[in-house]
This record gives sequence, C-alpha cells and structure tokens, in this order.
Amino acid sequence: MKKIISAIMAILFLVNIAGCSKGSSTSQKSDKKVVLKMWAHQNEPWNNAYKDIIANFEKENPNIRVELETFPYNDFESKVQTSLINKEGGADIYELWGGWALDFAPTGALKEIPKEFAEKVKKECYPATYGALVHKNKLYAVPIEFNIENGGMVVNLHLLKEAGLKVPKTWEELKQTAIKGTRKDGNKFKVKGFDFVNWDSVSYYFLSFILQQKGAYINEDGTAFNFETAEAKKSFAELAKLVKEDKVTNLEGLTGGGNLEGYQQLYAKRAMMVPRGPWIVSEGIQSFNLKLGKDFDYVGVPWYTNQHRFAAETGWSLAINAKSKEAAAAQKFIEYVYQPKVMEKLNIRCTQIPAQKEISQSASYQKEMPYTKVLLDILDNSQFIGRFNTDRLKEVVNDTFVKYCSNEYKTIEEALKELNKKANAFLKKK
Amino acid sequence: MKKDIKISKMIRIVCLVVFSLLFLAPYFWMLSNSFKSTSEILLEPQHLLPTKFTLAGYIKVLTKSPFFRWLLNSLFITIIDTVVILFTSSIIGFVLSKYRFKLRKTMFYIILLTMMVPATAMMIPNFLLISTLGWYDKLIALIVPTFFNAFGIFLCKQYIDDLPKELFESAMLDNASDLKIYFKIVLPSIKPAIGSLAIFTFLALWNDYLTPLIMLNSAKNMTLPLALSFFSAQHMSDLSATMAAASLIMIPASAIFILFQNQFIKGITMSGMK
Amino acid sequence: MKNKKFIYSVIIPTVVFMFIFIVIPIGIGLAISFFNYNPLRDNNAFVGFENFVKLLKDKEFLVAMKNTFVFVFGTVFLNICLSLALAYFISRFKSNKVRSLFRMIFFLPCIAPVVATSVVFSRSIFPTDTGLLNMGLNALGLGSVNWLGDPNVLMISVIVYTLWVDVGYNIILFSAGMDGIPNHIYEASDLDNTSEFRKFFKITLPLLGRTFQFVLVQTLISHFQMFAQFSVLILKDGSKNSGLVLSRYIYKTAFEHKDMGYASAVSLVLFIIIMILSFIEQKKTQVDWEY
Repeated sequence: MKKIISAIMAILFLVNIAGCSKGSSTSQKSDKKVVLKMWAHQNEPWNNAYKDIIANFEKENPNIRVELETFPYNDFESKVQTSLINKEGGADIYELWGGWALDFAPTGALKEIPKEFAEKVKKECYPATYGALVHKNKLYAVPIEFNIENGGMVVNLHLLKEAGLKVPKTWEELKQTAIKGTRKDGNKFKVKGFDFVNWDSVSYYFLSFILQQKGAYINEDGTAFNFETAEAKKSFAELAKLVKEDKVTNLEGLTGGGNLEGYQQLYAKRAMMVPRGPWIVSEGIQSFNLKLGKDFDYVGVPWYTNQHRFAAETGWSLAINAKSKEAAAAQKFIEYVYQPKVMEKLNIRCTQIPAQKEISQSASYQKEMPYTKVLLDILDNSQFIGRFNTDRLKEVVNDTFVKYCSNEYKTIEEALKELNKKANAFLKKK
Repeated sequence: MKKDIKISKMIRIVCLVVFSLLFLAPYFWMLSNSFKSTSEILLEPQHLLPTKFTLAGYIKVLTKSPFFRWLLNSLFITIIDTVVILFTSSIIGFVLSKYRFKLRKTMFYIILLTMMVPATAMMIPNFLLISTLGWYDKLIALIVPTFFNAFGIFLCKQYIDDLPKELFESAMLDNASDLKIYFKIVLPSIKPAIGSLAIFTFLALWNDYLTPLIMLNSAKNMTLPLALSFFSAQHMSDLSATMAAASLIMIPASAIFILFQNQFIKGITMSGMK
Repeated sequence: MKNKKFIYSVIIPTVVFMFIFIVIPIGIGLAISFFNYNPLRDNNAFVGFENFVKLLKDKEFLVAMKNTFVFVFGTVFLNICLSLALAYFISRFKSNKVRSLFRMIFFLPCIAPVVATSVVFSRSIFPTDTGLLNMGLNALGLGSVNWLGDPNVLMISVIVYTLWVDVGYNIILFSAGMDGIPNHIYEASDLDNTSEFRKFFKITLPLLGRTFQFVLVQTLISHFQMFAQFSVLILKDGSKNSGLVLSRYIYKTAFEHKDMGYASAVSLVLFIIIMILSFIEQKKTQVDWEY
C-alpha cells in the first residue's frame, strides 16, 4: 500500500516540476470578501497614512479587504522580485519604486493600467513622475509622488543658533556655513556641518551639478553614460572636496558603521544640515517629537550655478501584479487612491511633493505644507533622469565616490573612467 | 617548585575570567540598552546602566509587532521538523544498518554525498523548486524540504552499527515485527544519538536565516531571526525597541540551555567524537 | 530480518524525497548556470560557458573570493588557537562544576540566532558614537574606530564577532577530547616541573589528533557558508565591497541583480570548495566504507 502511495506521490511531484505551468489556478468563487494584499516599504508615517486610506476605502467597499505588508527598503526590491516570479505569495498591489518598474514592466510581471485611466494620469502628472513607468507606450503603474531629492535640506535650528550661523543663501555661503558649523573631537565628529553623504544625495547632486554646467551625463537616446566630461569632473571634485579637504562630513553615511542615517543624526543634534527629500520631515515630527520651525526647518539648497537644472527620477508608484486574481478590485483601489481628495491627504501625511500638477498647485496643499515651497518653485527646472535602474547607478556612483575620497585612485580621471565603465556595463546588461 | 605551579594556575584563572567577562559583555550591554529609553542611548553621555529604567522598548515590541506570532512560527517549524528528522533518521539508519538489500551500499554513498552539499550554494535552485511547487511564502517551504537529514541518518546508522547483536536475538526468536523491533529495541538504545541530533537540528533550524529570507515574504509567516532583521531595519531610530526584541529572542533560549546544559554538552561532544 | 515490505516502505520515500529535494536542485543549479537566466522573463538565452568565462574577469567576484578566503582562514586559525587554549585551561580544573560553568559561558553565544547577535553587535557594540567598544577605547584614553565603516577594519570586526559567536562550540569539542586524557599523565609532568606550554604541546595536542582534524574541517566548512552576519552587520557589503563574501555575492546577484544564471555559476565555485573539504575529511577520518 505504502509503496503505491509513494509511487503516486513521486509521479505527482515530477509532473509538478516538469510541468512548469505558467497558468494560475482559478480562485474559488465564494461569498467571502475579496482580499487584496498590498506591499509597501517601511516608513512609519507613510504606513500609517496607507492604513487610514485603506480603512476609508474598506468603508466605501465593504466587500473588499486590503492587507498591508511592509518591508525594509533595503530588502524590498528583492522581495518584490522574488514574489513576482511566483504564482502565489506575492501581493496584488505593489508600492513600486520607479527605477525598478523599468526592470519589471518589460517582463510582463506587471498588469497594464487601462488605456483611458493611463491617458488621464499622463495628462495630469509631471512627466518625470511616470517616465520610468511607461514601456512601449503602455503605463504599468500609477505615480503617487514627485520624487525630489534635489534642492531641499533639513537644518537643525539649535545647532545653527549655537554656532551663530544663518541659513545659507548661496553655494559659497553653504560651504562656509558647513565648515564653521562642523565640530570635532579629535577624529570624531561631534557635529557634521553638511552631511550630504548618503545613498541618494551624492548621486543626485553629482548629476545636478553636471546639468547646471549645461553638461550631459547620458546620450540622447539613453544608450550610453558619459561621466568623463569636463563638467562631470568639476562636479565630482566639488563634492569630494567637501569630504576630503573641508571635512564637513565623513563617509559613514555610505559605508555604515554609525547608528543612524544622516537626517536622523540631524534630529539627534549630530548634524547641522542634511540634504534629503521632504519625506524625512514627517519622521522628525513623528519619531523624534520635534517641531518644524522651532527645532528644525526644511529649506532650499542653494544652486551651484545660475543655470537651475536637476534630474528627477520616477519615485514611488502603485502597480498591480499581472498574476493577481483580484485585478479588478486592485484597479479599483488604485483609482480610489488617485482621486485628488485622497491623494492630497496622502501626499501631505507622507510629506511628499505631489505627482499631480493640480494638487501641487492647490491652495490647501500649500497651506498645509508651506516648507515645500522651495521645491514646488523648482519643479519646472527638472528633467527626467533617464530610463535605467537608478539604484544601480547610485551603487556605482557611491562606490566610486567612497573610493575616491579614501584615495584609492591617483587622479579624478581614473575614478571617472572606472565609474563610466561600470555604469555602462549595467546599462547594457538589460 | 610548587610556586611555579601556583603561578601558572593563577595565569590560567585570570585568562579565563577575563575572557568570560568579554564574552558576557555583549549580553550585559544588550540588556542594559533594552531598559534605557532611545533618547538616552542616542542623545546622552553613555552609562553602563540605565539612568531611567524603562520598559518602553519591550512594550513597543509586544504591542507594535506580531511577536508571539513569530515565536509560534519558529516553534512550529523547529518542533515539527526536529521530530520528523529524528524519526526518519533513526528508521532509515536502522534499515541501512541491519538489513541487506540491493543498492544498499550505493544508497549509503549517496547519503554521504548529500551530506556534503552546502545549503548556501543551493539557494537559487531551492528557491526555484519551492516556487515551482507553489510553496513560496508558506511555512511548508521551510518544513518539508528538511524532512530527511543526511547527517542524522549517518549518525544513527553509525550508532546502530555498534549495537550488540544480542539485543536483537530475542526479538528475532519472538518473530517480532520490524516496526516493533524499531520502537522497542532500536529507539531506546540509541537515545544518546537521538539527543545529540535533536539539539543539532533544533539549533540549526531555530537560527536559520537564509532559507526564510529567500522563501518567506509575509510578516505573519516570518520566523524570529528574519523578523528581527526586518524589525531592526524598520525601527532604525528606535534602538531601545531593537535591543528589547533581541533580548526577547536570546534570553529564553539561553535560559533553556542553562537548565539543560549537561545534555547539550553531551550531545555536542557525541557528534564530534563519532 | 527479511521483511521486504518494511524495507521498501522506508527506502522508497527516502529515495523519492532525496531525488526531489537534493538531486533535482543540483541539476537545476548546474543547468541554469549555462543560461542568461531571469525567471521573470519567458525566454532565457542559452549562453554556454559564458557565465564561467565572465567569472575570471569579474573584479567583484575576485574581491568576494579574496574576502572569503581571508575571512575563513583568518577566523578559523584564530578560532582554533583560542578554543584550544581556553579548552586546555578549562580542562585543567579538577572540579566538574567549575568546568561546566566556563563551558556554559563560552557556549552561550552559540545558542542565540546569528541574526540576533549580529543586530546587537551592529547597533550596540560596533557603532562609532554609542557603541560599547569605542566607549571602552575612550575610557582607556584611545581614539574611536569606525569598526564597520572603515574598509580596513571591517573584516577584523566581522572576524571578532564570528569568534565570539563560534568559539564556544569548539571549546566544548576540544575539552571533551581533553577530558578523555587521564589526569595522572599531567601529574607526572607536574613533578618534573614542565612548563604549561610544553605540557600542552607534548601531551595534550598529540592525544587530541582525531578530534582536532574533525573540528578543523567542520569549522572550515561552516565558515565558508556564513551569510547572516554579512547581511546584518554590514551595510551593503561594506565600503568598497570590503565585506563582500561569496555567499552574499550569490544572494545579491540572484535576488537583487536578477541574474540567476551567473549567480549559479558563482554557486558552483562555492560548491566545489566545500566538496573538496568534505572529501578531505572523509578520507582522513576513514568512515568505514567496507561492507
């Protein structure tokens, strides 16, 4: 008896393996609620805002339940990827970073956004916010924010006051302020004057400085990077000088070893100025119990030249898993979130710059978020960063920057040559 | 003469005490930090003991995360797996040791070979297999693939090989069934090997991180090690809660070990001496 | 014992199971290393040996290899020295209670999940400004070190952590071996006034032969596969990839860079290293192969 059972088991297993069936099993239709799984990256204020939106959505749609799962940002991309490979165990709705959507959309892993709705999104949102979400003229996700890591920074008002300094208005002033505000104890930083060394800022300011010198870092059709230009050299040197000579910060933000991210250090009074997107403001208020305008403020980062240009990438968006059995309900949820009323609340609570032009220009948004004015004023100076996985670019730029600042290269040319090689290698690997 | 021996004894004791303190320090520091408030850890000059004793970290872990769910997952997986592995290892070891059949040798060689297959090098095919079976993000993905443990089979077989023949003779005369021989004779006489194997499999499964990292996604399915790495990333700025979570994971297991340390140590030495 | 039915009902499921969960994955692993494989795509190109050729030119892989070997041999060497010394010191105590107390202390870190202890070290022991280690250094009047951020120190930090978490295991194995050495042997040399040092090398080490070999190879095998501390302790494999090891490189290539074919080729390298070590051990300990 046992023999027969094991033989049958074995055959079943083998069929299962050899079958490699791509089809999804049919879901059992019952009177039960439709359950949607939604995945997002971990960020307390954001997750709380999602939870409230979900609660309201469920009130309006009593037959749908949405379960929110959150992941640490560093693990999120690989989790999204492994789940998309699988028939089950993934989510129906993903909060997706634009730079990754590029890799997922061509594989057919994401469901196309219906034509009509897609047209509406393209009409109402800033181009950079969906640039990476389009593949062969089809839209694969709906943007929720205008990701802008350029142009804004948090400043710790107590530290400025203690050092008798003011918020800088020009790039030169910023450098002086940073040098004066830096406090050290031997080789240990007590206060970092201007801590731009983090996963995002080094790359963004590097690109933005190139553009501000009327240079370019990628060719017209987006097939090759060029980081060996005079503009790139100047930009790279300008940033590296802040670390190597002015010593207004160290490399800890990229190499690890500290206990907190740069902006968290600012909230803990260990950094004076930290450039980051506006999303960090909510954390200062909620996790560190600080007051905006009293303890810290969000201000503009002065331009490097008088050519105000910067590269913006596609930020967070909502996408639907192509294998989702509840695609209709998922679509419903995304359209619900996209409504200006709902989206505005979400943008405000996550301290995001809206993807929808209408919201960013609305009086109610600007009243709630006065400090974003410095960013709203420069949205039109942005250009889409380009169609490549931005995380991979940041990886190579950061790696080269760390190496250059710790004197691994003889010359800046050598550093940029390697950067160019590595960046083009991953660009070609698609 | 005697003095030299005294001195060398002193050196020995001093060495051991210093190292013991070094080994215990991280535990002490973790506990101390878990009872401090986060702002005390990050913003104030450091003290060895909390200046203001607080349970906020522990409260946050137990209220803001499904900690008991993670604990149950971990226990569920490790207990089921350990029990199954003990059974399969001992019964296969018994068959390989005391029965003669075709391909017996080949089979033993293959089991020896599979013992050498490193799990780390197999992460990709294992993931693809689990994904094909449709077990992704289900606890079964962590349970079933480990049911047969080559090391366990090997250990039990070696041990049963050494059992004296006389043990089995009376049973043969009674014409007892094979299963009866297994339960009544084999199992009781290989207790030490079983104990050793139980400790090993339990520890290996309890501490495994790579497999759940690849196979699981949902917070509700996570095991403790994976959950902790996610938790500490999520509460990056809340060190007190992170240390509280680490303490909650480490302290109970350590307590169990201290209670049963003799069995533990016996079990570990057994596998090494074999 | 002749019951065929019993034999088959045990052996067949075993064979089937081993086939599915061990043989097939090995086959899959080998097969996809010849493809440019991304499971998200429907068509994956067969590329022959391209992945293996790429290995030799891949700087990152070579760095990972170098780091893995530095880590494994550094840690294992120190681990063996430390555990032998401590086990020897422990074994010279006459009281059983004292012996088991010390063994217990050294074994405690082995019980906790590596992830948990890594989190404790990365967030409370190693950090530059609030970490226990730098507090200790500062108290002694020394400057702070960036244990996890400085690429020159990073590997040392990981090795120190790994010693802490793994030494207890070998202490127990060695001291069990030493407990088997009768005390009167030592007493005889105590009368000759032999130094501890000489006693250890003349008496203890030679009598430990088999245990020593077993411990050495097992420790090597386990250290080649270490993964958790490299994921948790270090931020993105450390600055300039100074903390990148093979296990992490496989994971990163497969699950972050979506290149499973190439990652399988890297896996094969790790696979071969472990296999060689295992065979050495089998040969040495001479498992009784004869039937």
